[in-house]
Amino acid sequence: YSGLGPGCHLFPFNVTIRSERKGTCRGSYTVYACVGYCESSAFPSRYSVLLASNFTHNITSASRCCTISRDTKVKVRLDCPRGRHHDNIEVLTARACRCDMCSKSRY
Amino acid sequence: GEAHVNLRRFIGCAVREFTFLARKPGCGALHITTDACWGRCETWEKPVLDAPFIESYQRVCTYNETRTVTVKLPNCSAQVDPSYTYPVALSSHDRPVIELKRDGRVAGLRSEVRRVDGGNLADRRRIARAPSIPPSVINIEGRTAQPPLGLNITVLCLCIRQIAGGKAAR
Repeated sequence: YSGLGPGCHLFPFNVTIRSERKGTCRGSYTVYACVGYCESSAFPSRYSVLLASNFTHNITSASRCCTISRDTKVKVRLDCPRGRHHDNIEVLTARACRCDMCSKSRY
Repeated sequence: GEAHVNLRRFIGCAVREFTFLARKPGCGALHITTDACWGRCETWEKPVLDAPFIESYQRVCTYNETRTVTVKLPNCSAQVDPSYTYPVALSSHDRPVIELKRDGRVAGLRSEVRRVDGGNLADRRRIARAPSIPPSVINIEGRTAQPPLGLNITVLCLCIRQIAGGKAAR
């Protein structure tokens, strides 16, 4: 995705799902992720932070990360050999993106 | 030589001049101009089939190598130590958010972005290769991996310096 600039952008990627133990049923589809470059910075902590941390937190980080702000479910059909096929399965795809709070525990 | 870079389009993580007001109880305040870190690092979220259904890649721009500087604050009361110590960034790098949260030296992540004063860009320091979205072929039952898409991106990490101004000024 060399064409992406600053900000947070929808980005398509292909996914192939296989089912059954031998992977004989499969379906391919395109979903959207959110990819980008959001601003982040790190700077000396204020004295109140130093005091509260017993002078261990001397750096404060202020950051935003590219996140999925809106998503939706899409149905994918898995085709199987000899005409059998599984039920459709639902997968998520991003509909909108934004630079927002960085967190590993949002979900 | 000096290279002027449009900061609105800048991608990467760089040392950048930063001014803050150093103050503590019992002393006067002192404006300090130092080197901190600023940039735009690659981050993404992608849907996945398994819980928690979103996979994240989050890296932020922070200090790599530092040195500490101690200055004396003005007009301190007799019983107050006038010294004020702060870190100076010698280099910056992208670092995973989860590591920052574990790092005792970092006060924490805030949701807002604090802008620093503009600067001029100089010195191409190094080239870092950031990973791309990982493979996206999933087996519901067998769970065997397939080859990745192979998308890689090169991020230039540069050093931003302001031509004018000293490192510490009232």
